[in-house]
Amino acid sequence: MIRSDIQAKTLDLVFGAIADSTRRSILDRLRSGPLTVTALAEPYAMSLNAVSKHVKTLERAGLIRRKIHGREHSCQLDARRFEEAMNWMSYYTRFWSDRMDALEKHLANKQKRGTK
Amino acid sequence: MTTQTVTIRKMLAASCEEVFDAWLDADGMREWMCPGPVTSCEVAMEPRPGGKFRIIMTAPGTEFVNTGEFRVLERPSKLEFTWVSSRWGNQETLVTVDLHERGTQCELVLTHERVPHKHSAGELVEGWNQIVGKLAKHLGIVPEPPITTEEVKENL
Repeated sequence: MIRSDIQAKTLDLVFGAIADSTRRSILDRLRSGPLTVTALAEPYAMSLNAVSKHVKTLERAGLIRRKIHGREHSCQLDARRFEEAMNWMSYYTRFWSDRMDALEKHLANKQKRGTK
Repeated sequence: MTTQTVTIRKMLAASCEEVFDAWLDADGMREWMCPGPVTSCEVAMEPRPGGKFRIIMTAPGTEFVNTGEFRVLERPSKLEFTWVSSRWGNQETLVTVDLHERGTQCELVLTHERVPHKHSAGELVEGWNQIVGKLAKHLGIVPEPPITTEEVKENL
């Protein structure tokens, strides 16, 4: 149940990557399947180069993988990294929740000892 | 400013003073700071603003070192301290414990946030916590249920 250290740097990359609405939109669109960078860029009012930069940020964070077929770059979602980032929150939610239960017991025991 | 944040609420049948003091009692803390697989817990602290603490949790085959510094100690309503855990790559995070008097009880609200990186602080959008949850669902990941608020236990 205890996993090895997850690189804080990795988490920062993931959380930084999804802090941007265009990048969230890109992730959302890739849910239905891989798309080329050109196809990805289509609905956005920005240059192909700008979209490509967003793709690179997502790629660096490990959220998507890029495959090169000749001239076309096809992007695919990689959900594993995302799961790692979620683990930080679920770990601490459980950790503090359990600690607070233990604190409750501790306080009750202390009060019992005090009144005796 | 909202970053990845964990919030836990707990109603405790004690005064806020008792709850506050429990956070600064190193001996007592050993009894409640040990998570599941941890077999021993060593606590050392300097209970004053700017004071440091160190909590070493030993589990079979592994050891976690949690250190930090008390930033705010306002008895009986607020504690704030940094939290650096070897479990998570020794990144500095921030824990705030707010205590509210509720009749004869004390409501504890613990907020644990990851101190944002300087370069990304401006980028991080509000309410992204929910976004993450939604996105995870969209991506087909089934994360642990994102319990952010604990049900207040009924007093028997």
